[in-house]
Amino acid sequence: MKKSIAFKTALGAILCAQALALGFLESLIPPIPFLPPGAKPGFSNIITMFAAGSLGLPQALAITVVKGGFAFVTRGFTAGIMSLSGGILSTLAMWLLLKFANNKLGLIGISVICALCHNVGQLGAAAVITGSGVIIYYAPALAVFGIATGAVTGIILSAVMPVLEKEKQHFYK
Amino acid sequence: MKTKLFRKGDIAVILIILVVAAAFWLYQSRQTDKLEAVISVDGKVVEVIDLSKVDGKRTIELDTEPEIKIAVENGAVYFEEAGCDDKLCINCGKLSKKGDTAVCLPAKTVVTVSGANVDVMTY
Repeated sequence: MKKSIAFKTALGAILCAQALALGFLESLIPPIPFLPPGAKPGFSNIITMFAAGSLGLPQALAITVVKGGFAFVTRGFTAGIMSLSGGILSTLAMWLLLKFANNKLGLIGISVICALCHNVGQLGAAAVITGSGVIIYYAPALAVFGIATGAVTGIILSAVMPVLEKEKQHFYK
Repeated sequence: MKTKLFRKGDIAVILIILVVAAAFWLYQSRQTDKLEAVISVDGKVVEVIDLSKVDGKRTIELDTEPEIKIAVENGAVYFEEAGCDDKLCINCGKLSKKGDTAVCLPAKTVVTVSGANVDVMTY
């Protein structure tokens, strides 16, 4: 039963649940003054990044879409669009970088770039929704915040990697 | 996954982002013309207020969905009330510098502070 569809699906479902749980946990953090409103640490990217690097693009995108769908169901249309626009762009970047740039960049650098891609996707979507480009003024603050959160996410990912790999081994025997 | 936690390239990535963000921010803050609050809904400008000419407090109610109340006071503009759930726009606080922007996505409303002559630049 090597890598059967059922095993892949089960692992994917567990990773989705973990991503959603992390997303919920970070929603409990109160808004912090001086930070751009709406900026979030993006801890669930730990899971998507693991999926992108260890399981492949389809699995990672599936988690991103579930996350977007969950945001859509629980927090409404705009939240869903924001989650998907940022998520898909950053997941694509993650997968490309982990595959082709992992001899030049470490997890920290890749994670920072992905955080930025997440911002770009969301700002783009927000610009389309509001029909106005002024939202670009958010970009510098978000970018600096993204460096911090991206680095933290990268460090956490490397710390929990052994556990996640073990989790994967349960299903990919 | 065999990617290392940290490589030299990471420093380059972070430095480039910092430099670009700083340049962008400087460029924004150097433009200090007459300040205007521009309120737009769904991409259309509905109200332009000269911030230097407002004495006392003035509120503007927009019949967007959800409803929004925007206030102008002491050279600053801010979201005072919003019918949405997350209140991100209110958390943006008072906007008084050029480029300050607050957005209410559910109501498709953007409030931004802009200079009167954005397209004239002097160096």
